[in-house]
This record gives sequence, C-alpha cells and structure tokens, in this order.
Amino acid sequence: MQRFLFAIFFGAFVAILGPVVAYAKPVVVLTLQGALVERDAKGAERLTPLASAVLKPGDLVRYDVVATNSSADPAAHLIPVARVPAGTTYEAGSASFATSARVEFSLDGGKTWSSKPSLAMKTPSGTIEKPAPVAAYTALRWVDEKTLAPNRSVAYSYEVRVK
Amino acid sequence: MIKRFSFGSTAALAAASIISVVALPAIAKAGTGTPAGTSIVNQATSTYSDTANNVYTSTSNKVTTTVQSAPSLTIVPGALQTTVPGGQLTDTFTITNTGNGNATVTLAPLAQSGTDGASATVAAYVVTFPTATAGAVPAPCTALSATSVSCPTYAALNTLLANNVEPASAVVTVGVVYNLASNATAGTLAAPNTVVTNMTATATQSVANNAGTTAAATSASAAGNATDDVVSDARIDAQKYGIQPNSTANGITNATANIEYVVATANGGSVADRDLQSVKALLGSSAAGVFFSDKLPSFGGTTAVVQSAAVTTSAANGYGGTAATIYYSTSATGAAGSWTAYSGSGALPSTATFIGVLVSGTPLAEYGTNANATTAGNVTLAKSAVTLTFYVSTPTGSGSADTNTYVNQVDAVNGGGQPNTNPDSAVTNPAQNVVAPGVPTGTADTTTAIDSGAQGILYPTPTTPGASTAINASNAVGDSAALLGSVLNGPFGVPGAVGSYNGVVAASNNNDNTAVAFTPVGFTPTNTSASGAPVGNALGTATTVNVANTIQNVGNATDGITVSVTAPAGFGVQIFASTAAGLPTGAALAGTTTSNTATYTFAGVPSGATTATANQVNYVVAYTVPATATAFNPYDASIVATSTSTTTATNTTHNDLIPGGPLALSKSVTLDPATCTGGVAVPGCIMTYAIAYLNNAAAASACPATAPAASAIPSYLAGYYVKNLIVSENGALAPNTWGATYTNAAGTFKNTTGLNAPATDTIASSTFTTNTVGSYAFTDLVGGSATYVVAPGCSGTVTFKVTVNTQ
Repeated sequence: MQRFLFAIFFGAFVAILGPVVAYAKPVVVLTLQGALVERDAKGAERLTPLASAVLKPGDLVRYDVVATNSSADPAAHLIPVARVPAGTTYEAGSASFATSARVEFSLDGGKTWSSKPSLAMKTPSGTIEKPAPVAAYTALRWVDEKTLAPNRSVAYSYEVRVK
Repeated sequence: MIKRFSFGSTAALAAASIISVVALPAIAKAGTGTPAGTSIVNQATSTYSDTANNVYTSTSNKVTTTVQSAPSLTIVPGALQTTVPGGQLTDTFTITNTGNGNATVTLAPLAQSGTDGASATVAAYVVTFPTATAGAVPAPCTALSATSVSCPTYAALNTLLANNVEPASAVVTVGVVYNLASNATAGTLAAPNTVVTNMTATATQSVANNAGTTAAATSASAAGNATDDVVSDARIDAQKYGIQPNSTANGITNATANIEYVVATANGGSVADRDLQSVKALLGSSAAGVFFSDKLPSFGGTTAVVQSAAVTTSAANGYGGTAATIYYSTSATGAAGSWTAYSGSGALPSTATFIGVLVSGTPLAEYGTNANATTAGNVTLAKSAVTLTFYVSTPTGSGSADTNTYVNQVDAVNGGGQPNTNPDSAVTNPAQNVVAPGVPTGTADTTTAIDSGAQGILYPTPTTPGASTAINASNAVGDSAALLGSVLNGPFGVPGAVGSYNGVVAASNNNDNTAVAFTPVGFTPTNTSASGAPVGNALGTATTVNVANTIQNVGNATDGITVSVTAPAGFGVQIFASTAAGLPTGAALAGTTTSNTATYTFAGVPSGATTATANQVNYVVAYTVPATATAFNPYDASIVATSTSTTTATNTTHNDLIPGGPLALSKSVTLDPATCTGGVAVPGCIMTYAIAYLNNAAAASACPATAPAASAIPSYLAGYYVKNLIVSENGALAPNTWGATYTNAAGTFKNTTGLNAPATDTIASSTFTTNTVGSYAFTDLVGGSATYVVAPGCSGTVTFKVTVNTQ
C-alpha cells in the first residue's frame, strides 16, 4: 500500500513539474541449488543434488547461485550475497565468480564486508589484528561492476563443509 | 533415554586466558560434527540497480537439507601396567562418542593375546557412564554407584551398554578386570611377558535416538589395545613325572618293577633365586639354600619306600649353585631335626617320609635368571635346572592298582626379594623373603626352620592328579600298582565261604554252597522206599526258587566280575540284581526260564573297600525247577565268577536245591517168628515197627556224635540241617491200622493191644509223649529239643512193638 501511495504521489509530482523520463525496472531472478560433492577413487568429481543426498558431517556441499535478468532492462551493480549456513564452514578458495567480480566475506552476517576479514585479538602485549579463519566466515558476496544485460544470466558458486 | 553431556577442553580454557577473541562467531565443538537431524538452510540474496541507480533486491529460493547420522567412536587404552602371575589388573579403556548424535556402543568379544594372553581370565567389566546409568541394571551386573556398573559377562555388559544412549562427545570408560593365572610365565625384567587386551567396538545412531534423521547408522569398528607386562619374583617351578613299572611315559623309560618319579625344576621368575636361612635351619645343613621336597606317597597306611635316588643339574638351564644334595626325613611332618643327607646309593630307610633336594652355594647359590618360560607344574626335562630322579616301591593290597593310588607332588621353597608385586626391588633390596606355596607374599626369611603346617613343603597334596595349584608347587601325579584281578563267589553275604557242596569233594572256597530246601504248596514229599536211600515223588509242577549269592572283588583294582550259572539239565536260570535282603529286584539281568545257563558281568566292582561290603555285589539266581524233579534229591548248580581284568582269576560257588527238603522217612515192620505162626500176623503175633528218618543231604564228614546247635549253622546251609523233628505215630490214623478197631461176636476190639512197651529212638535224648504201654499213638521229639539238629547224612530210628489182639 505504501508503495502504491508513493506511486500516486510521485506521478502527481511529475505531472506538476512537466515531462519526465521513464526508468524501466530490471528484474533479476536469483536461483540457488546445492549438491553434495564427492570424489571417487580416481579423484573424479561426483555431484549429488542435496534433495537426494545423505548429508553427514565432513561432507562438502557446493552451492550454485544463478542470477538471471529476466527483464528487458539492464541490471547494474549486481551483488549476489550468499550465506554460510549454520552447521557448515566455508571451504577456503571455493568461491567462483566472473572475472570482473571480486569476492568479499563477512564475519557478522553481512553487516561488514572485507576481501580479507581480520579479527582483533587481545594479547598481553596489546590488541593485534589477525586474519580471520575461514571457519568464522558467515557470508560472502560477489561485487561486480558489470551490468547484467537483459535476458542474460551469471553464475556463481561456493562450497561449504558440513561441520 | 538421551543424556545431557557437557565437556570442556582444558587446553582451550588455558588459551582463552591469554587470548580472547573479539567478535568470533560461535563455532561447533570439534570432533562432534553438526548434530544429526540438523537442517541446513541456505538462501541467497542479491542487490542490483537500474540505470538511475535505483537499488533493487532479489531473493533466491531456499535450499534445505538435513544432516544425517554419522556415528563414530574412539577407544583409547590405559597406560602400560605391570602385574605378576596370580595377580589381577584392570585395563581401563576410554570410549568417546565422536559421532554427530546420540549413540549406543556395542563391544565385540574381548580378545587377550600376548605371551600370557591365554593365562588371563576376565573377571568383570566395570563401566562408568558420564551420567546416571539409564534403565535397570541387567542381571547379573551390579551397580557400584549411580554412574558405575560391574558386569561379570560380556553379554550382560552389552545389554547394559545398549540401554544407555550417549550423546555426542560423551565419554564412557570400561575397565576390564582380569586375573592372571598363578602359573603364567613371567619372562625377564628386560623382556617381560605381556598380556595384550584388545577392545573393539562400534557405535550406532538410531532414528529413534536422533530426531530428524531418516536412517540408522553404525560406525566402523574402533579398537584399542592395552598392553600389560608380566614379571615375577624368583620362584621354583617344578614338574613331576610318574612312570609306571616297566613302561614308558613322557619319553622316560622305567625298566624296573618300581614306580619312577622324575622331578624337573627351574627358576621361572624374572630374577634370581636366593638362599634361605630357614631352609638351613630345617635341614640342619651347613649352608643356606633353596629346597624342594616330595612327601612320599602312601597307600593303606604304608608309605612308599625309596629304592634309589639321584640328582643332576644343568648350568645351561640356570643352575648356579655349588651343590645339589638329596635329603630325606623320617618325620611325618618333615620337622626340623628329622632330615638326613642321602648317602648317594641304595634305598632309603623304610621309615623315610620325605625326599628332597637342597641347592646351595657360596655365598648365595642361585639358579640364576632363567628365560625358559617355565611355570609351576610345567618344566620340561629339557628346561630343568635341577632334576631329581627316584624309584619307589609299588603299593600293595586291595585297591592298590586302582588309578591314582599314589598321588603326590613336589613343593619348593626359595628366597625372593621384596614383595613380588615389585620385582625390580628384588634385585636391589637385600631382604630375603620366603617364596613357597601357601606362604604369604613378603614373609621374611629367618633362622627358624620353615616347617609350618599347610605351607612350604607341607603344602596340601591334592587327592587327585592335576595341574599345579600354587606357586612353587608342582603338578600332582597319580600312580598305582600293576593290575591283578581276584574274585570270590559264595553264599549271600559270605563270598569267602568254604565248604563241600556234595560231601565228597574237598572243602574249599570253590566248593562252598548254598542249600535250599523247598516244598511247593500242595506238594507232599513222599518216600516210596521202605529203607535205604529215599525214592521221592516228582514235583508235578515246575516251580521257581531264588537263591542269593555274593561276589567280592578281592583284586587290587576296580574290576568287572562275570558270573556264569550252570544248572542241571531241564532247569531254567535267570540272574537278578539283589535287594539288601537277598531278594530279586528289577528285570532279569540275564538268562531265561528255559535255559539252564546264564551269564552276566557286574561292571566296576570296587576294590580297596572302605567298608566291609563296598567291594561286594549281591545277586540272585532264580531257578525254574522242572516238574520232573523229585523230592529229597539235591540238585546242584555251579556258579563261576571270573575277573574281567584277569580272566584266570575265578571262584566258584554252588546252589543246591532239594525239593521237599532233605529229610526222608521210611517205615518197616518185622514179625516175631515165634509168635507169628507161618510168618503172618495172627492173633498174638508180636510186630516190631521201625521208623527210620534220614537227612539225605550230602555230608562232608560223618554224622557228628553231637549235632551242632542250630545257631552254629550258617544260614546258607540251614537248608541241609533238620531241626525240631517230631516223629508222630498213630495206629488209628489211616493208612495205619494197628490201632484200628474191629467187631466180632464177642464185641468190639482193637487190632492190637497197643504198645507192648514204650517206643524208643536211637537218639537217646529224644523225648516222647503218650509213650506208655497200651498206647495207640505217640510223638517223638528227636533229640529232645526243638533246636536239636539232624545234620546232613545223619539218621535215626524210632522203634515200637505191638501184639495182634487175640479177642
């Protein structure tokens, strides 16, 4: 309802001021899939969708995030954010991304981000900064300056290990 | 029941005191994993903007999955421990649930290996749970506390474990309490023997115990091995060999008629033996030493006599002494002052009760370290350091050939160090402790003779052969005399009876017999002969007569005895077991009512009876006497008893059956030629009647002048002896007519005038009734007493005269 009232108010405001430029809204559809990652004796990778996998501690899970611009308008500043679910830890170096993107991690559920998160630790000699262990990661995101063209998709993936 | 569990890491806490983490998110406990049943939910979001930098948000679908059971466990054994033969240890295993959920633990059967693994026996499993034990404690387990339970069996232990569901990271301890046999080998201090206890287990996480999961799972087996060292104080292991006369056993050939004993000894401990002053005081020897002795066996109150003895030593097997001397004692208890050094040849005095060997040296004779892995009761000759060989006389008498007539063992005393729970100190501590069977560990050596009862050389000898029962005690061996069977067979309760069954053969214990006189109901034995040998009438109907007999094993071992019965032709023979009263019982053991022979073997008849009749067996022979058998005649059946072990050993008894009894009466009359004109009974004729009574049974000797009293007659011959014989005469009782009446014109008169004079009996002591002149009837109590006996072969005659009436 608020959005509706805002549209009415905004339309009235434009009508009063004169001709306006129409901005189309891009629509990005985000899909998430998970699969159990196993390797056979020869090292070949085998993926089992989580829906049919028996997950146990120590298992490696790969999540695929696909962003699809389903509109006719470009989507800029696309920043997919993925979680490290409770009960899992981020698998170091597992995040894949488009070449134009960079990956940032959060230790506080997405409040703050850093490519190399660190922790302040108190020691007898004072507070020092230490790289945060990957086990402390709670979320990650891909920051991309490229625009996602209409009807295009971009995929990201990362892995977590069940604790 | 799911149990709460908390844990902490000491190391982690210590670190936290130095370094505190700022803004560190919660991290799951290491080693436990994400709990089974946990849902892992994931959802991605995205922001983006349009060309006007309006920011939009997109949210993905949720991906949810559930963590399943991943059971696992670890088993950590306790640290190395040390025990001694005969000791008890507890190996504690720590079992940790390292899975991601609530699990139960299942133990595989415990396995114990190592050089002494076979000597270990689990006594109990003591389980300690992190929280109070769940559910009832299954029998036969017992609760030791709220959290601790002891189970004597592996099966009960697993039942208990199955009742207790442990959460992730829970720690359960299982203490395996085991006993080590006292005869376990010890090894050396440098290379001790070992007991390795293996515990293997699995953990199972069920769906019921782990909500949210979809399948139960069982972990791979985890295992832990606890190793314990086995060492021992110095000791003397001994093994005794007993070899029967003229035989070979255990590679030892005994070519003599005596029993050979060989005693092999060695120090099976982890440290050297030490000499004892108490041994010196016992033997009165010039030097201290170690000593092993053998209490000589006895049987029937007679102690075996040592015929010869010799001792040998082997330095290669650890002998380090300077002398090994044979001693013997003449004291029943081997008391101090009773011991004498053996001369080295010949027999010991018959009064010797112990034989032993003193091993001594200067200053301390020792066997030395022996790594031959001997044990009490297990010292092969090849490992023997000091070997005693001696020969003893065999036992004699009943039962002497039964197995294990002689049972004896060797007991040893030696010096050890400190209590053998800490054998290392035995090497460095000069204290001399006594090591001997029955002697408490740590008993100090003194200058007082070591001859306490039930200890040391007086350690009780078992009654049966077997393994060693204590440290420094050998195995017990059993020996006996050579087998010699011998049997007796005779009348009921008198297997050794002597007699002559027919009065002709010489009296012996092969000719003894049981006489049975019988008169079937309705049968009247009648003598049809007027004089001499009676001619009896036939029974007319077959009848059964039971005769009890007794066999006795008078050989020197438990034996079987076969009885073979042969009755006259036409008889039937059956053999029965006997009641204590001599009556048949149960079904026939052998024979039929139509065959005159039967054979049966009584097995396992003991010898060496502890009671007068323990080596005897009663049996009953049932004879079917044919209808054609005639009165007054003895029918003789022979019964031969034969030893099973010695078939030449036999003994015979006889059963003699006399239909109608042995007594036959014959009656005759003589007419007086002077008064009986023409040789016939005419009025005035004097007739003399003679009633002869004859015991027709065979007599071994002439009729005794004075018949024996009835009480002096063995019951098995009573059937041959007639007593309380009353001869009755009645002239008016048919078919007699000399007292009958007749009638003529002159009136009614008797056929005779009655007794012309009182009747007489050749047995002068006989007494009569109504025996007066003119009497027509009288009775004669032969011998004048109811107990007077007319012995077999004896006879007498009653005579009286009457005159034919002249009326």
